[in-house]
Amino acid sequence: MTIEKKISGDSLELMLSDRVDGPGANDLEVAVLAAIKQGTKEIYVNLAQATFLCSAGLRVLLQYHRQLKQKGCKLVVSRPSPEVLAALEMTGFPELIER
Amino acid sequence: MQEQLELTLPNQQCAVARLQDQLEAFARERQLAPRVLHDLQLALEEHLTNVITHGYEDQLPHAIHIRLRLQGAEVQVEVEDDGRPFNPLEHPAPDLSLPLADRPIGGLGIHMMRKALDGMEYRRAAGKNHLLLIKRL
Repeated sequence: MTIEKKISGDSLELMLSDRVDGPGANDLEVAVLAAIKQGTKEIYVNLAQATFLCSAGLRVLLQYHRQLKQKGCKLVVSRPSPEVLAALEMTGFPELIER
Repeated sequence: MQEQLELTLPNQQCAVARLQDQLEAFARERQLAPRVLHDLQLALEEHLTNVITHGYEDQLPHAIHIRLRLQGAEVQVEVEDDGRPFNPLEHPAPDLSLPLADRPIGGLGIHMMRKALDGMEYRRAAGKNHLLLIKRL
């Protein structure tokens, strides 16, 4: 998995490609924590190029979605690939997707 | 053309990524539908992560055997490990009716396996777990 970062003002887009597997979920968490530490208010996790999202990756998204929401900030999934969209729907987490 | 794929992995997470690469090459060669590949990769990722993370009581190296075969209109993947007895079929399903804020974060992996696959069969024999993952083509 690779992560590409795009910063604009207080918001950050993380573009993940290939398999969001166990080690990929760890890398995602490291990137999210670094962004929070830098005071990023909005994090968009772009999953257009992700071929799959495992439960460890889903846990990271869910954990920081909740944590940031409590602080009045946000973390959402943007542009999920069809595979990722199916994984989010099968686990009942369509709320994680940006609307 | 190759009808089956047999691999032995060490109980290390980095070996799972190598297996996924090999599975992608196999699927390309056999022209398997992207959905079939995706669902098998997801199920294997979840199961192997569970085995590697929770399966062993010691810190020693262990071998995990994978046998994938195309059988009629389905793909069958057998995963054999010598870890502690673990039957994912006995794992309760998570309560997906709870609101997002109250939803427990664990227990999703096996749920994803159930949803992605068309069947799973488990047996414990000679001190080993055998899990058969079934996906229709």
